[in-house]
Amino acid sequence: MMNRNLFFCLCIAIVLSACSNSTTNNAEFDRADGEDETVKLIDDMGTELVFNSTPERIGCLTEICVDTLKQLGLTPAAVAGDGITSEPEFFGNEATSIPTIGGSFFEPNVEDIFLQELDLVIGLGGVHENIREALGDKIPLYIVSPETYEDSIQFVMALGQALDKEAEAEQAVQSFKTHFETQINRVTEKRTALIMYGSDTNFGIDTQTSVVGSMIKKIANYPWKTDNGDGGHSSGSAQLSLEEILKQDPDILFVETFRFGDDSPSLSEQLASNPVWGELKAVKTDDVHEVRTNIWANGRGIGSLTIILDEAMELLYPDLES
Amino acid sequence: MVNKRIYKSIYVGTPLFLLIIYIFILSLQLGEPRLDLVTLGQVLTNQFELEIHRISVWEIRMPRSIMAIMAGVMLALAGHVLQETFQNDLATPELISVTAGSSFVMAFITVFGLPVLFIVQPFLALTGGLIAGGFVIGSAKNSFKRGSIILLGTAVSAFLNALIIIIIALGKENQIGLLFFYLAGSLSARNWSHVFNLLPWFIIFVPLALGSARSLNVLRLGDEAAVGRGASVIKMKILLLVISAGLTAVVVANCGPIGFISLITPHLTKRLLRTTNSALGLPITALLGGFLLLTGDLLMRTLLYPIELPVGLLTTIIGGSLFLTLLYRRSVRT
Amino acid sequence: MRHLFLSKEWRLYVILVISILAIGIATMLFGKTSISLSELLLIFKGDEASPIVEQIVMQLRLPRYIIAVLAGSMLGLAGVILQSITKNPLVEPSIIGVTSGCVLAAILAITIAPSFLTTSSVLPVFACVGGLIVTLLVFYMSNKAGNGGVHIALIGVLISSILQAATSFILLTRQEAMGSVLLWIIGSLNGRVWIHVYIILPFAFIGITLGLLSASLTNGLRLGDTQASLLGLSVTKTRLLLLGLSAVLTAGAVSVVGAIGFIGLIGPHLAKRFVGEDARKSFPLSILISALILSGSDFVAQNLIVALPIPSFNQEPQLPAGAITALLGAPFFLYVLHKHVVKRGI
Repeated sequence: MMNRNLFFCLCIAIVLSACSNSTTNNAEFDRADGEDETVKLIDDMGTELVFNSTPERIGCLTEICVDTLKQLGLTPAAVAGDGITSEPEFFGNEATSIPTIGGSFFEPNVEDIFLQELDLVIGLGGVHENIREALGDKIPLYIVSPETYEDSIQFVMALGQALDKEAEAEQAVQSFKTHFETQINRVTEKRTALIMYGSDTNFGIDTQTSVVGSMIKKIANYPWKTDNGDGGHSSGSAQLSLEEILKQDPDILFVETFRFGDDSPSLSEQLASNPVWGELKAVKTDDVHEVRTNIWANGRGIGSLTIILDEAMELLYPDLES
Repeated sequence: MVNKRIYKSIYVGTPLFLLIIYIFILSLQLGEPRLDLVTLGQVLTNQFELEIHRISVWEIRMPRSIMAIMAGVMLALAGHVLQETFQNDLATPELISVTAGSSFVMAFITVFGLPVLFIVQPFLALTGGLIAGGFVIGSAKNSFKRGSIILLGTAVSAFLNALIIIIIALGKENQIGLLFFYLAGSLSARNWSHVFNLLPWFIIFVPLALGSARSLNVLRLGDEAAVGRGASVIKMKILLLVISAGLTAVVVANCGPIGFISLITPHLTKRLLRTTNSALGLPITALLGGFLLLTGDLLMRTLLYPIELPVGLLTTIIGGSLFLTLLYRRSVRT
Repeated sequence: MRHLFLSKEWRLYVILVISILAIGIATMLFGKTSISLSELLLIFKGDEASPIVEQIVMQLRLPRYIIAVLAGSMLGLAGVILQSITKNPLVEPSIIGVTSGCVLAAILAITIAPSFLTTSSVLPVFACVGGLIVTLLVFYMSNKAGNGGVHIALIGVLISSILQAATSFILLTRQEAMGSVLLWIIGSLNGRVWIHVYIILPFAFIGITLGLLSASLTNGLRLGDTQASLLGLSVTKTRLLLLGLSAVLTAGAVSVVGAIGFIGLIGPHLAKRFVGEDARKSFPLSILISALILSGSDFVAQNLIVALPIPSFNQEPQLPAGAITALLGAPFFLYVLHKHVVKRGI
């Protein structure tokens, strides 16, 4: 028995020695070299990015980047995947001329990023931290991790400052805030709304502590929250008890989904055939709306938020005069 | 001696049955709104006016609890039949690949956003599970020696799981979140239509499984002895395998892969009854399965309210650890 | 005659090394931008060709290829060691749950201290410990449960499903860890650069050296327990040492490339087919074959763009290398199983 323990220790020792070797090698890797007058930018992970000149070619791994660049009057130098880029409110047909970064959402192809000679890459928190090392110190990676709509506004300001577009950023934020304020003031009586995705049995919802949820909360009754208190951490979506949904009985449902074909029953009809969903006011009054996943779920920037705000106001309060 | 054992299984079975009824009633009471027994009685006899109470009890809690009992019974029986068939107490129906087949189909639908009607999804999942299970059973004709079919199933499952991971790699956050909920195995938001999906399979396969006790007892004597009694061992095993796959497939298609119920219940039964006689063991296993899943689901939906976590996580982590302990303690004894 | 026999095995080594190098050159040349052989030579000589191309080749493709070769070798060696100890051709790190152990330990580390997310060099330590614990657990339990062959695979599958459930649990309660979990379970070489080479290198160096040195020990074990102890080998000690070694090899590889499955299955099997059971020959051969398979799979992964005929999914994604090895490995697993189990009945 004694010997067995000894060997176990030996194995551990091998492991530890091997590992400790590995830690010494990367000490100098993260060091940024900038002595001249520089632009500094601190991302949501607390990483400091230093630029010698204003970054011009920006690559977007996540939609909030595309969205925010559009607000600043810029065009991304490369985008990953099929996001909001080709939505009419953003770059529409122009999107085809923007180079794409291959791979998948969770693993964007690093070689493509190098090829585009980017000055700055913007990725999403919880997903893209992993490629920081691959990009090295030549291509700075900014991780954005918005948790409420205020973070999205903050991001516009931060990016505007870094890209020398402060005026545009200021203006975009101001017009969003004014528009938001106007819309909030138009609301006389808040209806209860719910944003969800998935099917009737396996579904997720946006809570109050998500980007879109935090905004909708201002123009509608949006009672969906989790008691964990870690709203800052989770991405704001959760699986909720049907009983809670029944209790709050939303007047209107926004569903981020794929479109069913013309000859198949619509989402409302499908939900109506479910004995529990069918009891909800929203389903009974046929107030179930399919919304664009790209904008509602992935957008996260103030451009998308403006669209969501307008679409939501229109659907929530169709009788309001402007 | 035989009589004593029958009494024993009645001693064990009756309290278990009462316990299930107790928890079932509890599961109708708990949640939001919480009901006392009198109110529950009124709701059940349709004397209570509030619509929300009626829906909560009749449309949410009752189908879900019934679903939990049915799924628990079916999974437990599937496990018992399989373990006895191969005389291998590590065998679980997950290993005939039914689970992986269904999961693969659901992963495909979820991640690629296929416009498949909600109501059709369980049937597609069922088809996937049956194809995978059928492949394993079909290709295992010659490999009934010492449970190697289970390894075959492991290999097919490993392949399908690899495909699922590839699909995961292509998804986006929300889709992956949904997929993980399904892959964990959950009873949340299930309603009567799911109960009715389960019902025909329950009616056909549960009696078949309970009725297979005699065959299982013959197999326990060993293949040669079984042949000596004029039984066609291969045919018998294939039939038992089909029963087990049928019980599992429909549960997985409707609830996702709820782990370890089928592995742990036969072990518990044997410890409770101290007999390997399947005629006595099978009913107890069934009751235990129903009890465990019902209790587990009740815990998962009330503890973190309004958040729900998939019950499959609980059964796998607790059932799995319990199983490892049992295995360890048995090995120490021998 | 004896000379001829020896030369057969050396011929295999040479062929394999050449193939691995050929894959290496192909990896350098092809990708999103392809370069010519002369350009590649220029880059290696240090002459500026084009800074971007040079960066892509030197900073991305070269380290990635080195990692593929190292990780492949390590997983192949881990596989052949495990198979020799258990005398079971179906045992492989990902099948017996070692990789799940690595993943869970790393995820735990990330959730307890999120700052680990940014320093990937600390994670392998945790992965090692997790992998080691699971290896020992699986072997301890399967030893106790007896009937080694079938049981070790089943116990591995069960333990790994428990570990995966625990991983999902963390994932569903703390979704911010999702990206990093996926990174681990997918198994990919995308974005692995020199820093990762430095992480994997000590594991590879120590592990492979010790592994090759222990080949004769393994041969001793193969003789059977009583004979081995006659030779002065302590069976338990030797087995534990070899187990620890395979866990270290697996953890080192997994912590850099993620849970790439099935690599440890194909290499050893082919190696034994060519040179038989002698560990002194099968160990190096299975290292080479596995290195070839992983680097080849990654080459395919980098150059294959999948167009899926699904209307609502208009991405053209690239598959991770783990996908290719799984597509190769799982059918191979079935084949091995058929051969060993169905025909011979283990």
